[in-house]
Amino acid sequence: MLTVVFSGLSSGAIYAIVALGFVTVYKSTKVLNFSHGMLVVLAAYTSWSLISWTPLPIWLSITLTFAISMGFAMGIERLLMRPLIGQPIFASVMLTLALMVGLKALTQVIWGGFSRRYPVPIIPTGVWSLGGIDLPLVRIVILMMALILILALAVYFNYTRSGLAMKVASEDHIIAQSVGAKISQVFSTAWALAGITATFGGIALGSIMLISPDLEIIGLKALAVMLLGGLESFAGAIIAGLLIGLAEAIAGGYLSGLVGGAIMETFPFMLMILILIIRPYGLFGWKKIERV
Amino acid sequence: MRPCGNFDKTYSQTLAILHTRLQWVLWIVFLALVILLPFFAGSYLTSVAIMIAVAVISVLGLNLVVGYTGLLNLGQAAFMAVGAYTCAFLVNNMGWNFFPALLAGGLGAATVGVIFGAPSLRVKGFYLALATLAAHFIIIWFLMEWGGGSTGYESPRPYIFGLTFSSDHSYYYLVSGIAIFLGIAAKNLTRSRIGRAFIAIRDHDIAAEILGINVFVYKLLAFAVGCFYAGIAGALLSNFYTYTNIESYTIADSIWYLGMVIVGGMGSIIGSVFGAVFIIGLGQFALFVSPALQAALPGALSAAQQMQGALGGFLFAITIILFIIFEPRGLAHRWELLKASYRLMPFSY
Repeated sequence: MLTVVFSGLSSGAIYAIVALGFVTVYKSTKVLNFSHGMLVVLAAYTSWSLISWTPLPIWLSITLTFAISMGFAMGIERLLMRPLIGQPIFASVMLTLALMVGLKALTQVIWGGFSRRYPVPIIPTGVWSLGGIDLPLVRIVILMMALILILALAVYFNYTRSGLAMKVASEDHIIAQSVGAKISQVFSTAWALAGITATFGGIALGSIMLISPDLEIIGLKALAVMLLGGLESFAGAIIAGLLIGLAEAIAGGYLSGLVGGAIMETFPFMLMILILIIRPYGLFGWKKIERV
Repeated sequence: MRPCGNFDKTYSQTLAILHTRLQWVLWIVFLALVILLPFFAGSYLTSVAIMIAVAVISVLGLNLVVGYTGLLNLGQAAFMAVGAYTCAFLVNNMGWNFFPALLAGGLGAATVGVIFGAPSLRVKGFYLALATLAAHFIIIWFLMEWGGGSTGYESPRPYIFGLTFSSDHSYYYLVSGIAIFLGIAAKNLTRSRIGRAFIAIRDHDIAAEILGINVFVYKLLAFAVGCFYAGIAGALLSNFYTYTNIESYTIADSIWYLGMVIVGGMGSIIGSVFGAVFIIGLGQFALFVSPALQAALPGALSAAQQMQGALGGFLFAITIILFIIFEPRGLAHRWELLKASYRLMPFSY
């Protein structure tokens, strides 16, 4: 039982990290970036090839990965998302979906669609025994990483000048400009942050499972997390991430005997429908009242 | 847009779809092309034409939901799968003939579409996109668990009254006939009270409600009609492949159908045809080019099929992105511009 709970919590931490990327972009630009899952996979592959194809030390490879994926995300924003400001949401949904397809194809062309594993573990491996239960150190580190990332983002959004500018830009572009926030800067910062969270996610993902282009499914599951937590809430992302990870592990552990093993993969989506019917704004999201 | 001097003098003229002689000529040329295509195209092009006709049916349904009613649907492929599995189940396990089973498949897909469209009462925009995305995974999981597993069903080509559609040639006529029939039906639906209600909901749902349109009922109706089209298309597709398997109905396929709506033009019946032809053509181009590319880039991808998939995905993504940024109204809008410039040709303003 405790093992199930713990493995659920640690995959939940990954969902939370990935969901953070969605929240960051959504909170500041009102764009739901469906391609974020692929950005995570791309970051994982980039770090893998920097470590195994170049003689650079690991810390430098990781730093470079952060820089590359940040630059890439900012490039996407500058080239593709900026022309869409003011367009209906369908345009941004479709563009990020197309981007997801395109990035998947790109990873297949560059890395051949094979699964990869880090040649040397980035996060220390090992087992931490606690009262008779063996807890893998990797998963504890990932959980801590998610918490620290969330704390940092929450502080950034609530206490710094540019973070507050992002909050106001999400509310109304004209109001934001009249209080001196630069919209274009807000957008590129949001995507840069998405690139950074994607790198964290990629490294976490690569440390506990094989890197493959099919991991985009994690990006889609993280949408359920984002929805449960509320689209605008960082704290919601971690709580919902852990909850959904837990629910998935429990469904996999206890329901798979009744209805087959694939229930584990589908369970987050069932929760997603339920959330949409019962509480569409999530646990901590803002309930919007529509005025005409 | 109608040319100068073309006025309606009777009610039947007002109700007509085709107003000018040129439109009649183009329509007859199009029908003749559809009928004559298998005679001058090889067997390969005929099978591509079948895929295009199936895609046209699915995109028509998707366009009614996305383009006309403004509801995001990311689960079209799953609704197609519902139609295909219902049809295959009735044919295989109940001994039905294909044609009633096809209709039942469409109705089954419509029912499932209404169930998963129900959240559209409370949510819209992104939230509805997420609901249909979740619907996709739930439906596929359900079909996987209770629909014959990963092998699926056999789906032999249909027959009726001693007529069999076993060859690609004859199956092409069946599919394109259904596609043209459903296309005219969709065109007429969009000109009716229901279609105007759809458009009103798309443009502003609250204003539509004030006009006396029951928004929830019409949203569900849009889902029902769109998913009915999807179900028919799905059943026709799996009978073309002669087996029903969830491999042909993935989330990527849903995205491709949405791409066809974008490329063709949202809220346009003829655009659905343009989009399906364009995107299927793009996929065939990728199929055609990938062996050469593989020879040019040795060691890039080992499996030819993978290369084709990757190249197709890449071209698709670039096409969609270019269309969204530079021509969000799609090929249908270009077609309108072409028609306008043709009419004004010697004396453009």
